[in-house]
Amino acid sequence: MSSNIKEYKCPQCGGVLNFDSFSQKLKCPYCGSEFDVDTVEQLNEATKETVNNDIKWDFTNDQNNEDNEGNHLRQYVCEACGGEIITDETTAASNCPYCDNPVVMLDQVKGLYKPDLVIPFKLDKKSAKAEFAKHLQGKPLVPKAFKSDSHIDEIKGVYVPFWLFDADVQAKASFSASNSQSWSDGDYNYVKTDYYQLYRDGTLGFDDVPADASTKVDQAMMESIEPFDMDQAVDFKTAYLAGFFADKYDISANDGATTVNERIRNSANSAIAATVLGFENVMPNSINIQVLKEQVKYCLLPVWLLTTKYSGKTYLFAMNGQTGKFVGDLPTDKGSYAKYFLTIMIIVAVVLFAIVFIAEGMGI
Amino acid sequence: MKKLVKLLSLIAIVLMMFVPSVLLAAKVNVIDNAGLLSENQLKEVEAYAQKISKKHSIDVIILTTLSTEGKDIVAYADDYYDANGFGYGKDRSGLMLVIDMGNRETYITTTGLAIKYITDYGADYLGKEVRTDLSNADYYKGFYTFISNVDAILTRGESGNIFDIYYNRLAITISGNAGDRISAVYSVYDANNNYIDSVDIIDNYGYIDILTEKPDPTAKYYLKCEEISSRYNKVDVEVKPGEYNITIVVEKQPLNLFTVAGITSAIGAVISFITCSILKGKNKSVYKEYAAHDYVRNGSLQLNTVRDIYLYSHTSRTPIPKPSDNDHGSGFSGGSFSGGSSTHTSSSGSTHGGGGRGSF
Repeated sequence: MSSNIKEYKCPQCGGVLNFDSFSQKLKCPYCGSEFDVDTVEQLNEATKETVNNDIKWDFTNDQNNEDNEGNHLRQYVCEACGGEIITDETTAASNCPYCDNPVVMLDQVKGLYKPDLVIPFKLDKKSAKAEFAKHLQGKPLVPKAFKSDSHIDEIKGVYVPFWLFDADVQAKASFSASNSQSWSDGDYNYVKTDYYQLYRDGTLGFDDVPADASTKVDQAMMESIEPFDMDQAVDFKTAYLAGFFADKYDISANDGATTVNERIRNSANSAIAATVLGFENVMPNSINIQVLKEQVKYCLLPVWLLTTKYSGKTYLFAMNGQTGKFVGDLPTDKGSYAKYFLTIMIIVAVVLFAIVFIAEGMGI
Repeated sequence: MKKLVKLLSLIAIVLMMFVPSVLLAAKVNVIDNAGLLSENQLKEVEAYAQKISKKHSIDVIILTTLSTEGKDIVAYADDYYDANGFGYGKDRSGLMLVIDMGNRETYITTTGLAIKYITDYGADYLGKEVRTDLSNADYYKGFYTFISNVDAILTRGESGNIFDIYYNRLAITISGNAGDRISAVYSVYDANNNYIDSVDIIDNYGYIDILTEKPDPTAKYYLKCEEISSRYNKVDVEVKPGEYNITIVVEKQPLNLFTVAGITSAIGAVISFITCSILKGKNKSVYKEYAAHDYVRNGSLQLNTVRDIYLYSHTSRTPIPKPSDNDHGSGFSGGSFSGGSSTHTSSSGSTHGGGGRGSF
């Protein structure tokens, strides 16, 4: 098959380079040399040899063979060991299963699929493991066995595709509001209520609202590790993918916009409502949010994905590869729950019981 | 000739002016200014009123009018009575029923001995009776019944049995542990075990007025405790004749271990459930995002329209409840009482009683 994959080779020793999140450079695991991303990219362009960038996937062929299981798979040949790499159709970077060399599938990050931006990994595998250990702390209802036995089943750094939306919205709203004052003259209590009608019309801008563009990762999980700091985003270069996994988008920008617009509307809603000040009682009559203009960028964002198995179930965790925000739901141990419940209940009951009798004894 | 005519007409006018006062001097007891009765009816009622007045030496007057000349009916009645020289003896004993057809209202004013015999309760009774007939436009019957009722009440009063409401007031004090404010509900029964009423005891004190038809200092009562503050025992009391201030001593029961344990356990369970729910909540960290607050461009909010339009105001007013001195509390003493007659002073300075005011 094709050789439309890229491995970044060390100019010193020919070893395969990995992106190092600590130094933000490409590093050779064999001789320890470090190279700037730009340098390696230029070097690579100059010494372009067998890499064939011209191969186009025959998508029509795929559609004709829809029943064929293989049509969702991609086949590559590892440049290092010649092994056959089989991935699914959205994988953009992976490791060779035979020699573990990192490979980048160039077709998946080209043309329509070329990301505009990427935030390189800032945190490595070690930090992800440490954050996982921290994540388990201070949660007494997590089963003990889950904490002690659980070894991380799989841990991988994935560049997850995201759509980023810039949007300007117009918010028009009207509210019914009232203020009350009260006084009394000895015989009567008076309450005077002034009623108002309020109108607000304003514009509001949003930058880089992210929408998960891959069906492979859970959307709620991706929303839970937000936000990413887009100031640290850089122009996409294939070299950043070296040593990590990457996917290309399989959710269209239009579908992403649906999710994002809902979030934008909700925020615009509260922003316009927050401009109503000085009233005790405010009831919205109508709020109308219109998205005036929206721009979309395609971006790869760094996420560490971890899985563990516990009593036959797989638990999924995610860490923001830039900020270290770690999320993932944990199981609750019924035994621990019962133990805690009973202990707290008995302590409270005994203390109250004692208080009642001491108070009674003191004649209160 | 002309002078003679003038003189004669003058004499005629003067004579005509004197006629009413001559009639007044002949003492009219029923003055039907509103014209409710026929001539014959008026004569009969007049004769009956005069007869009863003489019998008791207490004037019985009925006045009907279309207007009280802008005065309150009480002042109008008092002034009319004072101005027209009604009443027997030095203290001008008498009573007058005023029927104001303009406002469709009745009132009875009393003076002298009539104040003693026509009590507030009696005046109310008379007023109520007469209004029944008035609203049916049975004027003749109404007047006649009124006079006969007055006759009965005066006769009864003169024999020493004044027509009045009587009541025995039982003042109840509950005594428990010092500092405890005890509330209770007692049912009151008479000597024949017939239920009379119930009385609320609040903050250790309460009272009940038991109405009787005549003064009854020999009445026996039975107080049955229906409810009492928790942990106090229910004590029933037999009230002896002549005993009006009753003190009931109650005892506080010791705490029930099982009840206390049950309640504290229930509170413990609630607190524990809340705590455990918080602990369980810590295990969840994946949530869907519904807003995009983090991504609002700094300072990008621009308001093009800000209009606050004042519509209207509304003022509501509620009366402040006044602590009434009739509230439950200490300081009440029981006893046997009658309703009696209340009096007031009219604009001319004379003392009047009365009542029976009401609309028909």
